[in-house]
Amino acid sequence: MYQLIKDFKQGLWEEHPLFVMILGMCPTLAVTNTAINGLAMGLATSFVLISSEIVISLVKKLIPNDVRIPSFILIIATFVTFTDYFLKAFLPDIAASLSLFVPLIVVNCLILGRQESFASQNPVHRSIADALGMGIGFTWGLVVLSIIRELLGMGSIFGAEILGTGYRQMIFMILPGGAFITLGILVGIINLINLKRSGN
Amino acid sequence: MNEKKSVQNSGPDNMYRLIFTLVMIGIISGFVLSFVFQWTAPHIEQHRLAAQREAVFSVLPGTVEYEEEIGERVVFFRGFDEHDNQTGVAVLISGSGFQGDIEIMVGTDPRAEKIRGIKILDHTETPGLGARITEQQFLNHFEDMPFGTYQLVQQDPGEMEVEGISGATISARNVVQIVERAVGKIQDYTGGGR
Repeated sequence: MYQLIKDFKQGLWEEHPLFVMILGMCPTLAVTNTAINGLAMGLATSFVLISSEIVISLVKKLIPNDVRIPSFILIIATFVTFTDYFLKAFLPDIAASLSLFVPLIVVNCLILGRQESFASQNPVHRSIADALGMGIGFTWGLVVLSIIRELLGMGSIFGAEILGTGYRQMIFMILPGGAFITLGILVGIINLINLKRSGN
Repeated sequence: MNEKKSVQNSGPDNMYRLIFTLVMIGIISGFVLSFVFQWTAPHIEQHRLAAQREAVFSVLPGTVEYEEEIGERVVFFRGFDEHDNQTGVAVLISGSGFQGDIEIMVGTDPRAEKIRGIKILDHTETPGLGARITEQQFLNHFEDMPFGTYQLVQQDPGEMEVEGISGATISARNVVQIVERAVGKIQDYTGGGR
């Protein structure tokens, strides 16, 4: 049990996929212009991550070592296609605003990375704990990033006006440049916190 | 450690095992996805039709009802207002964009020989660059444009001119070409401004 909690907590902070391992930058920088997009992308990625870690950790003994990477990609691609169809069928607005970035989850290195370094070497219950932790970690990272960008760029959070009509929108925050700057500052802050903690 | 193992195993037997594994995963994943497709396809089609319906109302303002007629590789929509007067003719047309096809609904007033409005229904242009063809600011250039051929300019568009999108000249130019083609189709369809 202790091991499971440890696996779960790893992705939330210590090995945070965005701010510590800097993985999955393509969706991170591209879709975090509004909070709802960030949340949807985080959840879609988490779903793919959790399902593929379960399947891969179950079938890992059947897959010969030489073809493990192509096998992982096939399994990941299956879940990504499922997610893509599902969003288009039941959440068309979100599917339209994420557009190309849903199919691109296939090449999110966070997902393949966790299969290679965790799911293919650990039993299924530990893989679920790992995937949940990494998924939630990735999602909170995207949500924080996108809330900051949406608030400064459009004066709203989750579409609700916060700063009022008098606020002069910093359009550049919702453009790609704003993504790099926000991410850089957040990574800096988190490194600073970690430094302070280890210093004590 | 892993590499040593694979060297020992490499032989015809191992080769077949590799191929067999990948083929099996492919078959299972194809099987699962065909069910997912069957399950979601009707919903996706429904959303597509709803978007198409909304597009007719948006490019032909004042329309409350429309008739659909399938033409050669395009679909025509005749819009009518509440007094059964024709509000205009729209055409759903697609053409190649920068990457994939762009599908556009073009609403016109064939009597006045003018475009009433356009709407992009589907595209795969680059997000942030070419995808800006869906922004109202770009689409507005086509409003009340007389039939004819249009020029793409960098700024201050005049008569028969459309302001392009910086960084996405090809996408903008292709939209202009598709709209020109749509106008031609509508002129053929209505017999030259009937």
